[in-house]
Parts: sequence; structure tokens; C-alpha cells
Amino acid sequence: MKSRRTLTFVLMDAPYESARTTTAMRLLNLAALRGHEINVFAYEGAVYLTGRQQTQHPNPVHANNDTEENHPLPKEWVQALLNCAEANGGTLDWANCGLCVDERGASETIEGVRRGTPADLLDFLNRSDNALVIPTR
Amino acid sequence: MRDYVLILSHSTLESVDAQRGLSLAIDLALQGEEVTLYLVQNGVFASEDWLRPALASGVRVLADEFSLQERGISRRPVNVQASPLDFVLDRLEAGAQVIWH
Repeated sequence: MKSRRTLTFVLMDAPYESARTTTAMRLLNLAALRGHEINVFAYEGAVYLTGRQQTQHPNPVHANNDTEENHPLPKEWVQALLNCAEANGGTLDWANCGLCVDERGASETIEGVRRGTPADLLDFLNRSDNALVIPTR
Repeated sequence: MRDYVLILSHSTLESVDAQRGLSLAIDLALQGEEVTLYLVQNGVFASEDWLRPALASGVRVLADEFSLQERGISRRPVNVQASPLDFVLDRLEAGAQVIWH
């Protein structure tokens, strides 16, 4: 069994804008399954990933109601990661950069994530065994 | 000798980052470092001709299985292995320098 690591991931992409978000979620899921101590510093558009008010919508072009359309919601992915980390003996500390939150009006988030500052990013990096920054274009 | 993993997520048609990442990989390998190019997302469209200088320099090239499947790519360039994304996490755990382009 692999030993537990402390890993930091830095995300910048807003939801739905890039495949990088999908790959990031895949990596975070793997880390959560392995029971690591995971830190996520989300800034710029990535602060929208945890938005509590994300909702389903119907799609009249496809003649789907909102249940049938079942549009993916990033907040549910993050909630699943939080649950997965806990279920596997690890942790997920998800911090949204407060500066970016304020600029974007993105303060309403799901439970289990928190508002942070750039000082949190520095703290994460200082405490981590390794880190991966996923830059936007 | 350090262990580097350079993640290339763009095709050469959409960004100059792909070429920059390739050049960095070659430079590091020529300096004697252990280098892996990990192709993900549209990076898996990389051609054999484009990758040849890196492979000749001793760079290992892997392609994300999921990205290949998403794009319907069944034939990979010679000497490029398909890999689950676990490889990236394995290297992070091992302390490799992982850089995303």
C-alpha cells in the first residue's frame, strides 16, 4: 500500500471552458481514492467550480426536461471528491482564492470548501510533498 | 539526475505551447535528466514525425488512455505507449517535477 502524501493542486479554469477541468478532476479523484492529504487552491475562474447555485436546466432542442438532460454540475464533482477523500481515509482542503471570489461574486459555495487567500497557497506548497499547477491558456 | 514529467495537453495546431514543451523535454533529456512526455487531451494528436526528436533524445512518451479513447485514436505513433492517468499521480507521489503545458 502506498504511503500517504500531501499533494497540492492549483486550478485556474472556469467550469465548462476547458478539458483541463476534466483532467484535473480525474487526478483529484485518483488522489482521493489513494487516501492522500489533498490541497486544492482554486483561483481565477476555478472559484466557480464550487458554486452552490449551479442548477439543472431543461433542453428544449433535445426535448429533455431537466432530469432527462442531467447536465453535469461541477459542484457535484467537488462534493463527490470530498466524500471520496473522507471515505478513503484522506482529506481534501479546497480553498477558493478570496480575491478572485470577490471579483467574481462567487462567494456562495457548497459546504466543505472554504474561502482562502494567496497565503493559503504558500502554506499548501510549503507543507506539500509535491504540487501540480494546471495553468489556463 | 532528476525525474521530470512534462504534461502536454495541446495539439501543435492549437498552441505553440506544444512545441515549447517538446523543446524543453529535449533540452532536459540532453542534459542527462530523466524525462517523460505525458500526452493528454489534444496532446495525443502528436504525430510520429513531431515526436521523433524527443524520442531520439531519450525522452519517454506516454499517451493518456482516456484521451485516446475520447478521440477515437486506436493507432499510436511508434514507441508511444498508452498509459492510465495513474502514471501522473505515481510520479507526483515519487517526488518527480511535474509540469503542465
